[in-house]
Amino acid sequence: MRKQTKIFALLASVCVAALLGGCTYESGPKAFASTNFDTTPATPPEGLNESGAEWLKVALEKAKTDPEAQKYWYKGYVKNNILARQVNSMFNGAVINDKGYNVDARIAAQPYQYYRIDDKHYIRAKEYWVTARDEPLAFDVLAGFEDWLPFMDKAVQLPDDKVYGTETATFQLKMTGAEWLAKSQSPLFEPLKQQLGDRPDLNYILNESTIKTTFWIGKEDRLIHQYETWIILPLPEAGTMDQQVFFQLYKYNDPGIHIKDPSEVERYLLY
Amino acid sequence: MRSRSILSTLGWAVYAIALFLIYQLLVKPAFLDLSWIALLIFIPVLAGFYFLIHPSERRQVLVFTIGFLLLDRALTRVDVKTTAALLIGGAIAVIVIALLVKWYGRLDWKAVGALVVIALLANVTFNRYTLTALSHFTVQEETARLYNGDWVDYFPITLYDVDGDGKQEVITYGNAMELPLPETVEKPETEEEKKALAEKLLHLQSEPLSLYVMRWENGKLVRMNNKELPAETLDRIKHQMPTDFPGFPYYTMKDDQLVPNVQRQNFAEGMMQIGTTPYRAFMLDMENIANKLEENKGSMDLRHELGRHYKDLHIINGVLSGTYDGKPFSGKTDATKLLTTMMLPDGREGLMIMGQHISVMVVEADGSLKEAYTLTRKEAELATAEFIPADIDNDQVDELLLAGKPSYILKPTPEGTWDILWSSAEGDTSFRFSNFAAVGSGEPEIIAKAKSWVSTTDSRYLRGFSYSPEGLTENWRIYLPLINVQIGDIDGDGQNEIIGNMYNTHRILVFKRHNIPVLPLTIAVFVGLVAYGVVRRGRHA
Repeated sequence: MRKQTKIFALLASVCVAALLGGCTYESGPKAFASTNFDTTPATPPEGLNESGAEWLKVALEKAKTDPEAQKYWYKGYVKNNILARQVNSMFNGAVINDKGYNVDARIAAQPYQYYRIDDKHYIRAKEYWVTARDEPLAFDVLAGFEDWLPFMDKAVQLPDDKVYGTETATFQLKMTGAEWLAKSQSPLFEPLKQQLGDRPDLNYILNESTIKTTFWIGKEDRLIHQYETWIILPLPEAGTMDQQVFFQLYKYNDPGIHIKDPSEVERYLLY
Repeated sequence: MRSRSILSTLGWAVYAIALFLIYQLLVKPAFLDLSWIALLIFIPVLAGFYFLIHPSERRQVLVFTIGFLLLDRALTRVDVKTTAALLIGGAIAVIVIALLVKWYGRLDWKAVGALVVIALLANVTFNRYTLTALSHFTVQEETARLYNGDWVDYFPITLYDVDGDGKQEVITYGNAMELPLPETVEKPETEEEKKALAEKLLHLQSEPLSLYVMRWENGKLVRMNNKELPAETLDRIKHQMPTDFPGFPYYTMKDDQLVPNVQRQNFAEGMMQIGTTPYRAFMLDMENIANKLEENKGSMDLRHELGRHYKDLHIINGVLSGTYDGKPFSGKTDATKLLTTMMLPDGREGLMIMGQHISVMVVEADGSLKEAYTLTRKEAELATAEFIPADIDNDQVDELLLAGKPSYILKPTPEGTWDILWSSAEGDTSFRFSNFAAVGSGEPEIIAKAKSWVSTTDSRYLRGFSYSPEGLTENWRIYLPLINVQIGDIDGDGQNEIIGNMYNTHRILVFKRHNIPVLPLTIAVFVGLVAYGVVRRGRHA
């Protein structure tokens, strides 16, 4: 038999042996891999003399007045985990304050675009641009952050972190849904507050829930760069619903931010 | 002369069959399991094959090999939306590859004919998914798509003997019959058409959704008519369905509809008041929970029957009540879900419930409840985990297969703690337990989704394992990323089938176990082919 034929026969035998060989998945570490549930925050760095409330107040003030904070990119999502299922909504795009924003969005696996500039509002769904005709909400991208201020005095400072290379001071606060609802001045909570009187079952849900919010505020620019809220709610027939709300605001004043002229949308408008 | 010609044609046909089996059952699985290692092995093997063929025949054999594999692949990829597209696409693939093989390979027409016939037969005589499982299974059935809506990625599946004939029916949700796809999609031309489409696109739409109860009839799954099922039976079926919340909190399943709770414009504008996002998300959650509680009359969970001993289980107002062996019990709880039951070391049947943590409760002689075992969120990611009781060591005490990241096999000890018998490897986020059941007529097996140890992607396939203290020994694989896997006897032959589907396909697949040693036979074919090549080469040399 020629030499190359022998080598080939040998290689073929190796292949056959490899294919016939069974395999056993040996155990990993026989100990529970600890999760981050109820972890105690690490010791914060020294040198910050202001409270979390002060940091958030300054950040909101700067966001309104700093000319270099009037346009930025953003991306965010809401992830809803129930049993083995995850349902997401996502958002990303750019904002130019007092002008408009665009949103590449997704609700439960259905992508769409929302374009808002001055008093014009358009939606792109399934390849078609259409005029959005519902009554618009106020154009105020940082609305709602001030509602966190009453809670921020109790925020715990976490070790500094980096968001897209920006050094940030990090603050975290934790409470139940019942505490959140009771102390918050947000008008969004009014319908639920009114409903609670007749519904002890909802009070039970609120008392058993956990709300945990974290802010990442730039140490140099004092702007909000990231925030996250975990909402853990008891859910009938499902244990709990673990919901993560997460947003990043980045590249403040990026010269590359451009929101297209309405005429570029209107030429493709279906109706 | 004529018989030599027939032999030559048969020879090419046999070679095509051998090639097909070797490629589908040895080469492809090797790449799926071994990734780049398979490449390292097969490059020298291919080089070996190249030199094994006598130079005078090399061109013909190589062109036939490549042509056959290309045509087989082309035929599997032909557009199947319409019969005309299928026939035209298939004919073009056959003609182009046949002519190329004839011209470049200088093969005679009989060889080309053998190539075409075997490739065609391989694409029309059996379900191609069979190839992913053929070492142990054949695909008995693949249903049509059961859901024609826009966004739901999967629905739960369960098995339940609806009509008491000893065969389990396959139950899931769908709307293919209620929402047939249009034959063609017309572009809007007139103002009215444009306005109508714009109206439709502006808002998320409700979708019809029905229970699909499917019975095995003449080798196929056939939908039973829901109208012919008594209301009481339908109610029982609904209780058998695993709890699921497709689209929650953005959609609600209500009165045979999936109803949107948000709309595109308002939702985007709300989220773009970025600081309010958690407030809005929380309000949407609470609205849904309030509706759910109202619909359930304040009940957190309810089961008529669970396990061997539990009946009339109910969680309401922070109290869990029911009967155990016919004796009533009740006790306080913060759980919201009745999960399952498991046999415990003291011989009692424990009731597993889920709130923020997991508890296994036992009923005391005085009718009170005691927490016998607990699993906290600190120990494992419980919110998205699944829990499968399984007596894997045949000691009449159930172990708990915890499907999560990581996955564990937990044994309850008489002291009220968990002994970890096995855990998935650190960093393996793919492994997930799926079932514990006998597939075919054998012993119960652990069924799990797992990726190959060398793969860098999260693609995972269904595998059967046996447990031993050394680890999980693999018994079989199906090279498909199956989800919603259920094991049961749906055709009434006393052997269990595997029923499942793939993400976002909404087609149910039924796998039947066989006892033919397909893999050793294919290896024998491979060895035979190599031996034939060696002998032929020796004669030519």
